[in-house]
Amino acid sequence: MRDRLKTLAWLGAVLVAFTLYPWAFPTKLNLGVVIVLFAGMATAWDVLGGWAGQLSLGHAALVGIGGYTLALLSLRAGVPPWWGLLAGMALTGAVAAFWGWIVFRLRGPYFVLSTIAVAEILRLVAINWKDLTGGAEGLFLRELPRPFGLDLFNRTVEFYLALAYLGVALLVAWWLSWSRFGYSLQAIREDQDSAMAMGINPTRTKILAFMVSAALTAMGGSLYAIYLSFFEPHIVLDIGLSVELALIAYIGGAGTVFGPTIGAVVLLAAGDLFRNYFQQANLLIYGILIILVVRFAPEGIVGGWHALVRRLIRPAPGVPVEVRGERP
Amino acid sequence: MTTFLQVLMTGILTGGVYALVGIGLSLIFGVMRIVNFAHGEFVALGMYASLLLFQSLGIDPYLAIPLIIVGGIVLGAVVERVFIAPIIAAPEHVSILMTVGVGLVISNLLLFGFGAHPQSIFTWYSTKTVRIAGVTFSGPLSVSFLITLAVIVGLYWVLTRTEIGRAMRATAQNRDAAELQGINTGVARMLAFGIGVALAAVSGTLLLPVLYVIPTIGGVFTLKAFVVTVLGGMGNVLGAIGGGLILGVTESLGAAYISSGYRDAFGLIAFLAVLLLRPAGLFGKSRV
Amino acid sequence: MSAGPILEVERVHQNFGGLLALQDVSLSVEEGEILGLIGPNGAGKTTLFNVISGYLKPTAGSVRFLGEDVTGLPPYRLAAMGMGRTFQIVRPFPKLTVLENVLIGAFLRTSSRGEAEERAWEVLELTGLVPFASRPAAGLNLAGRKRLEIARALALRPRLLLLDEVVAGLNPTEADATVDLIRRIRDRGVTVIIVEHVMRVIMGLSDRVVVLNYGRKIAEGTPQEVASNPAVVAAYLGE
Repeated sequence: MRDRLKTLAWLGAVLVAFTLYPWAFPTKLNLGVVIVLFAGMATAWDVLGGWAGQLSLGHAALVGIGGYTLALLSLRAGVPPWWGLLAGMALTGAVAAFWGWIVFRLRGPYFVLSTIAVAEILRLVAINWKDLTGGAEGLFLRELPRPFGLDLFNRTVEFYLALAYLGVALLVAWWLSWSRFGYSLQAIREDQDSAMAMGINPTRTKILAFMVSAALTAMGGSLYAIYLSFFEPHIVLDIGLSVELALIAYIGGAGTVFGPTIGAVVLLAAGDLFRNYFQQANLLIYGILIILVVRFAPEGIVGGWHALVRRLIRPAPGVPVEVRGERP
Repeated sequence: MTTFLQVLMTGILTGGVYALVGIGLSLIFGVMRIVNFAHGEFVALGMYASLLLFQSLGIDPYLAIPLIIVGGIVLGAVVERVFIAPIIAAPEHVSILMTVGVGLVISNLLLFGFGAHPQSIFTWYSTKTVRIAGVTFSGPLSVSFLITLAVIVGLYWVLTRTEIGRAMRATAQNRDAAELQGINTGVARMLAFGIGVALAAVSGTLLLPVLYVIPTIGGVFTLKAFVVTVLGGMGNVLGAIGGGLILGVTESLGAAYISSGYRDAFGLIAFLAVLLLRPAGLFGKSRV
Repeated sequence: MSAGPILEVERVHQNFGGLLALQDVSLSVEEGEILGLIGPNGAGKTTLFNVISGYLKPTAGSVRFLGEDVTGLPPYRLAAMGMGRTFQIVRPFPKLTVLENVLIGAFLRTSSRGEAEERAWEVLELTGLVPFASRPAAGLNLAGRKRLEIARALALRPRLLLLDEVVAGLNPTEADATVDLIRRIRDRGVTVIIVEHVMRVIMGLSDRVVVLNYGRKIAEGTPQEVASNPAVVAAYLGE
């Protein structure tokens, strides 16, 4: 119980710290919105990828569905964006249920491959089905209703909306860290056969995890569409985005509450800092980083931090050590 | 009728080269149980290497093939030793991430080295065609297809008639049993990866006279390779041939008669259909 | 509470593409007894466990648990019905702590975190693992991990417990402690089937023993009967 509340306290602290961002960095609001949105979406990815151990390289599909649903409902049917957002979440949840049912019955690398295939198909559909999606030229969210008089295209408003989203995502991750569902995900990740002996149904659990991950990602996708206001398939349905979400979560620390957020802050802030020197080298650096992390620090930044802490407080080898932290 | 034959034949010819790309991936998966997410990047490497050889030394791509094969085996062996072997015992997603990383590095180095603009080569045979029974075949594509056949035969010979081929097949069947028989599975895996990379690179060389090349083309080929291997059964090297032909024909027919914009989608849809209905692949034994 | 045997295995065949791992194996287990399952290496003991616990669907034959036909049901259904098992090659969830490993088993019976934790601590006390509760499972020695395997299965509140070589590889002190634990488990009303190579353990612990050789049942009876059975002696000497 103690650890659970401690993590929740940290969660609150992180959110409070973020609320000061627009005041601290008023000229870098764009970056701020992107960091927070990607932190949320990477956390959403992590529900399936880090907690349940099912690697997805097609989450851009879910971002895209979230974004396009909100945009299309708003542009074609005048549906307010909050309903559009919920619709996007429901749609992706259903897609994930069907898709998961097809693929999670199978053992082997099929899930990863299917994620790439589905995302790519969606991108091609978005490009070719011009009447529906505006094709390669994309969609332009010209205007949106003003809830409580707020201008949704104002960067500060968008920042706080994104922060609320990150809060939701972090709460979900926090819930996973102590709940029965969270533990069944981890069991499947660690050893599926053992998990079955513990009474866990792997296919059903994976599908549920996918649905949660998908809906949460779509929520971020909808907000991302508002932020971009003008978006094309190349931006929201690109495999680059899928890979980026996976890497952010992994480098920060997959399967931890704060790992993906830390990953987003570090990678995107650094990317912005070095943009002047490294222009297009973003992806190259991601590639090098992922090789290094996979090889030498598979637990990511969070894991590296825990290892450091353990080394500092360990009194002698062989003595049982109480490790506080995110695990209750 | 000739149009249909035309489309069909183009599909078969392209499918042959797709098969070559897929066979490499299937071999790697069969022996190492690793899905090489950088596979398409090695195809791109083959294309750019041949481009460089042609532009700076005037070497015709077809003549460069032996060089590419040797270079591919060496490069693959090095990549395997440095990046893959250390993580061989780790869970599946680790090797996926590692090869994704390697792929990112390769494609971005190509971007820096060669620039983002599409490039291609023009040779004396670039526009030559062959006419048989009223159907026109693209010259370069036909030659590439024939060379593909030769390479596949050569691979078959290596796998069935040589010591190392048998070692690879034994490792693919059962790594522990192979170890007990005294087979050095480490070397078998290293060479399997090397050969797989070489096959990918050669496909690139064979496609250079026919396609434009850009640094991001690797991703497209990785996806095609996946489709081919799943259609044929993961780890089923012979099945990949059938998988490649099916992919080539499906794309060709789909693009011609339904919609050319969705060309790449047809293979993906076939891929998902196979996953739904016959996950082990259309040709029997999958090694998962 | 069903009146019949808690587990009935009827004429089970297991054919692995030509390799006949189990041939016409039948046995029945009464509630509350400890049944020993022995046989030379490769006799099919773990295969039989895999069939009983749902990891393998037998080529022929049936399995009845608590009076119901459970042939071919997946392991998680059997766990829910009250069958727990350990694995020959121990496989705890490595990155999770000892407590968390047991917690996962406890979660089968309740969705309340508080209740599950209570049950988990109960099991940890019974199995002597309390000092290791916060340690990652991968950090335990072999004896610890084997003990954890049993603890995890116990957390499920099983009525039948399948133990696969939980004593092999332990030193005599550790082995005795495990034997004692198994007796205490049985005293709480859990039926146990135990596969073991360490003869003194299985002969001392079991009420009845079943002997397999080359996939067939060749003997059944009390430990004394089985030990003096010439077919059994021949099977072991021959190997």
